[in-house]
Amino acid sequence: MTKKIAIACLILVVLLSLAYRIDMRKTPHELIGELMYFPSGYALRTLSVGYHAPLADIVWLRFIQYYGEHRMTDARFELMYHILDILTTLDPRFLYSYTLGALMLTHDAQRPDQAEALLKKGMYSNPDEWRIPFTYGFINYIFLKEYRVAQTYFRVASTKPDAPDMAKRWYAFITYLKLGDLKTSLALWMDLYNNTENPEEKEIAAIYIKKIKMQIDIDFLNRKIGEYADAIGYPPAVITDLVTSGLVEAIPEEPHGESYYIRDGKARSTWDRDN
Amino acid sequence: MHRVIAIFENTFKEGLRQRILSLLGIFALLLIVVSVFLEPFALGEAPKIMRDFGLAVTSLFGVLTTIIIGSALIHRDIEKRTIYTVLAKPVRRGEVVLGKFLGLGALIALLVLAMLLIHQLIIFVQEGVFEPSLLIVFPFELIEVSVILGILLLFSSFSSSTLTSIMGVIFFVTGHAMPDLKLFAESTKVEALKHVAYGFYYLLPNLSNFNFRTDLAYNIPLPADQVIFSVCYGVIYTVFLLYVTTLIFERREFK
Repeated sequence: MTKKIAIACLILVVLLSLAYRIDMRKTPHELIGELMYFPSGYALRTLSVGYHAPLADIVWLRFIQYYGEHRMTDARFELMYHILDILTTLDPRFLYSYTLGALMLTHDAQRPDQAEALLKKGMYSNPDEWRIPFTYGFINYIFLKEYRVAQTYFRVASTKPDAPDMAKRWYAFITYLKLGDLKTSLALWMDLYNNTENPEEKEIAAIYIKKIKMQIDIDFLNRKIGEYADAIGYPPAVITDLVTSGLVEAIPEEPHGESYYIRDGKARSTWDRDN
Repeated sequence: MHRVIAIFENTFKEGLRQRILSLLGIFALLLIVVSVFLEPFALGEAPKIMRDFGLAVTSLFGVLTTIIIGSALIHRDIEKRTIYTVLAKPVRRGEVVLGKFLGLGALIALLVLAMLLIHQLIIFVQEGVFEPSLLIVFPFELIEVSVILGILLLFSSFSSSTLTSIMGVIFFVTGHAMPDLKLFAESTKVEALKHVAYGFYYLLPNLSNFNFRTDLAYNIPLPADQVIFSVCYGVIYTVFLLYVTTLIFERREFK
């Protein structure tokens, strides 16, 4: 009996080492490259025997794997839309695959056209959902600077049954107030940050909030550098000269935890230099 | 009626002896493993995935158990020759079919209900709340299983257990592909094919009519008329299958 158990264990060890060796030969790129051979969402839906929602969840997990892998390496996301298209065909109500997917397509893949296509598909499948037209307006406002399109979609979002005040507020804001300044963008990103439960959407929003806050600080410091130059006759040598001269009370805190400095007579952030 | 109850009890106990309730342990373990490992990878979508996964595995376990046990339900009695003992008594063949259907149906119902309750428990442990609306899936799972069991009994009445189980799988797969068959019928330009496709669409059991899992996972209210029509469709289809099974079974000779 002991001999038989030993043989079984030996076979198991051989199997495990073979599985490990096969796995080692596959790079993460190879594993994710398999996604290229995903058939269309319609074909998968038919093959899913009614289990299309869990299949969409599996595609979602593969999508996250794909996103993480490329974000850490080459920042190329050619298959991102393809995967999201399959996912949303399998489960047309998977809300975050539209909103977060559109943000990722715009922010990471630099493909706002594909983000728009994805969101239009989402609006068709979820006519009562406010988040999708809101994201459409958001992307048009922030990334594409298409303020009139943004206004239209904020209005569409604000008319949906469960639309929160945020959608209505933004429609009113864009209609009656100025368009396209940094403070407006900051407020919009802050609203998105506070109103989403998805950690990845929060993370993207946080990136832009810090960037915009930094830009607002730099604009402010540049104005003060100009005032300093007008008063003294030459620009300050170091940023703290602005405090010493009494033009500013304190140098604002750099949102990324870095610091501001002056080069060629302009305020800059060390974060900007390093990134 | 007491004869049907006797066969029902016998089938139920026989199913229990096959230890199918041990599936519950596997189910619970699967859900726990998934819930533990899913959270960091799901990018905020773990609750949705847990709901989808739990409902899908419940359904799949229910259907697979039905096919595996249901396909041998009558054959086992024929092979073991216990059918002669049963039929020698004053019992009608229709009663045998009904008793076996109810016995296995009750066992699967117990299994599915227990899995749904375990699912609820794991959701509660994870999120601190129960989601009782997901339990609405239970009657629809039961109707789907009933239709599949009806198909299995029908094929059991005149063919081998291997063929019966294969037919069970085929009907399960095609039953869920019915919306695609309708789409094909609507879009094909060949008139004859259109008629054939529509014929199959209306004749074969449309199991997608009982699939409300996604709607329930999203907490979307089910349209009352659709629910009523689906329930009636499932019940009448099952009755029809059992009736035809009885007709065939009554004419079958055992040598």
